[in-house]
Amino acid sequence: MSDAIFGLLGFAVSLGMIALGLPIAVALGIVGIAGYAFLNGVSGALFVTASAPFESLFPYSLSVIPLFLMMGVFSSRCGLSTDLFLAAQTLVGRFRGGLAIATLTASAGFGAICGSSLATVATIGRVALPEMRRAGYDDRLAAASVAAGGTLGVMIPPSILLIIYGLLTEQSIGQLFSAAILPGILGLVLYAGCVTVSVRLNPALAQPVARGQQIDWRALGRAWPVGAIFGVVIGGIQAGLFSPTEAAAVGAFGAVAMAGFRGSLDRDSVWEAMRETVTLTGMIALILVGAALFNYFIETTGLPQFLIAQVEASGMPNVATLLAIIVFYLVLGCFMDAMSMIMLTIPFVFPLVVSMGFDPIWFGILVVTVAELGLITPPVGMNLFVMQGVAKDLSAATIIRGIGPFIAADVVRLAVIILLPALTLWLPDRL
Amino acid sequence: MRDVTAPPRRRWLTKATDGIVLLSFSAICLGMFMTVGDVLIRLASRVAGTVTGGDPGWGLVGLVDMTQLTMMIGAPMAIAAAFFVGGHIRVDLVYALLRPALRRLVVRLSALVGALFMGVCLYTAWNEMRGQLDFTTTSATLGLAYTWYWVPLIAGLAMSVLGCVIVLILAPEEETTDV
Repeated sequence: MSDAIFGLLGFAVSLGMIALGLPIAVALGIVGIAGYAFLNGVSGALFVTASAPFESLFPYSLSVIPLFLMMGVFSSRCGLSTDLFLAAQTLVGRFRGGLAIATLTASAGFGAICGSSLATVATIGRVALPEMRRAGYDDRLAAASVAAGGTLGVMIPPSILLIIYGLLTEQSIGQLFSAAILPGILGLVLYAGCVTVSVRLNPALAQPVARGQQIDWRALGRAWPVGAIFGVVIGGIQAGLFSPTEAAAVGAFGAVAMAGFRGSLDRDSVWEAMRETVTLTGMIALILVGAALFNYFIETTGLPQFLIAQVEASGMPNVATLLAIIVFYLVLGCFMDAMSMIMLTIPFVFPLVVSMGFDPIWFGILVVTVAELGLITPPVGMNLFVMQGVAKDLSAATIIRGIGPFIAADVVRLAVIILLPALTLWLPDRL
Repeated sequence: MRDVTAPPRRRWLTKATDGIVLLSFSAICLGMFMTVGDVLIRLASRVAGTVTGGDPGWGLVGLVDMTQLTMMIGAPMAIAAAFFVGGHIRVDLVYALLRPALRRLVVRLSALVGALFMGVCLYTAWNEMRGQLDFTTTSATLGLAYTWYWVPLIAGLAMSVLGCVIVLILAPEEETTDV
């Protein structure tokens, strides 16, 4: 068996261990150490294991992760979701299907500062779903718009997935954030269009709301903290005022201060927020250690070079190879969460993609878009499960029946990102 | 929130976990405050520069070294805390389909493999640290000995092994879903 085939076997064993329920970081790390030991001897494996934890956790750029996590956790726990939803509702809630669009808008705004798709679904869902049900919206549209809306935050910066992609592939996090803005907005527009078309085709999905309401400026005003945090963090990075780490620190400080001023956190909530921040940090930190060991193993097998040689020998056009990679990700995304998928595959997919001449920043946005799609794709779309957790009387079948049009919208977005790379690369080139 | 109705061993475990969480969170907060402080000082420097016609170049000396140190305390402790509370991400595709007895087996297996992995990391990192002590490597700006960065890492790895062992011991007691 060649080393490269052994690398593929290692990938398959990791998948098996992950499917069985082992923590992904442990699965990657153990396979990495064992595989490296098999190829280079035990002493070689112990040598790389000795330095992997230190080298993975020591870089200054890593500090961006816990700080953005802290910003997201404290923002999500201080009642911002309600304010955001009410603000979006006062703008677009009067139109047929407007509450669903308000839900999507609030999810995009909240997801942007929260950074977690699952937290966005859980938080916005608790606010928006009862409102939509009260207004006579069909459960399929109501639940699906919350579940789909949660994915928007994965793309709109600051996004933890983009940060991890940037750290793994040594790409500029600031450039990744810039590149994600237009595809993120496109996602929101396509989702809103999807709601509009759905309610036109089937008016029973959303009852009309009485017209003639005035815009409640106070409701709009109450959502200012979200705009302020987003503006300072992303505006600061884009304007060159802050590095991503400094922006994360300022954002985290702002979120904690805002939670304090609003008085929305009691002692237990603060403990919960601390615990959540630390646990998420630990989870990502260990994945970085496991992924580093897995990377050593994959590199020593020569799997990336083997794949590149195979693709060149096959004479397959680069676009066809890219489409095959996307299909691979889509299938994998149906069974794995986004972060696990990226950690597991980037070591051998990224060199292949770069060797074909594709832009690494553009590919990062593409991967995250596919990962977003995985969050709402049955049978393991995480957002669907979270939605079911929010409204226990909703059946999985109801949510899955409603999610179809949103998946179609994501496929359209994917096609636009592939066919029009300028949409992604225009902004980073100018900033 | 502490569960006062929990058995004493559990309460002790909760307290220990809270201690690790507090240590990790404090380190992260310290990094945050120092970075925000540096941003404010540099802002003041720019303002002063505008007034006086020359940027005095104020800033927090050794910020990168100190931030790295706080993260080297915060991250390994966070890894340990995640083991204690079952926070390490996993995919429960097959797990969800298993019968309770098999689930307990998988939980034990996960904890065992986790302990093995973290144990190997601890053993090798310990030897690496001892080797590095001979070279007296220091940080770039403040000249901090690298021992200061290694010790919290070793402590976090050791706590992680302990977390896995605790899950391994406690898992059979209940039909837990956490590792």
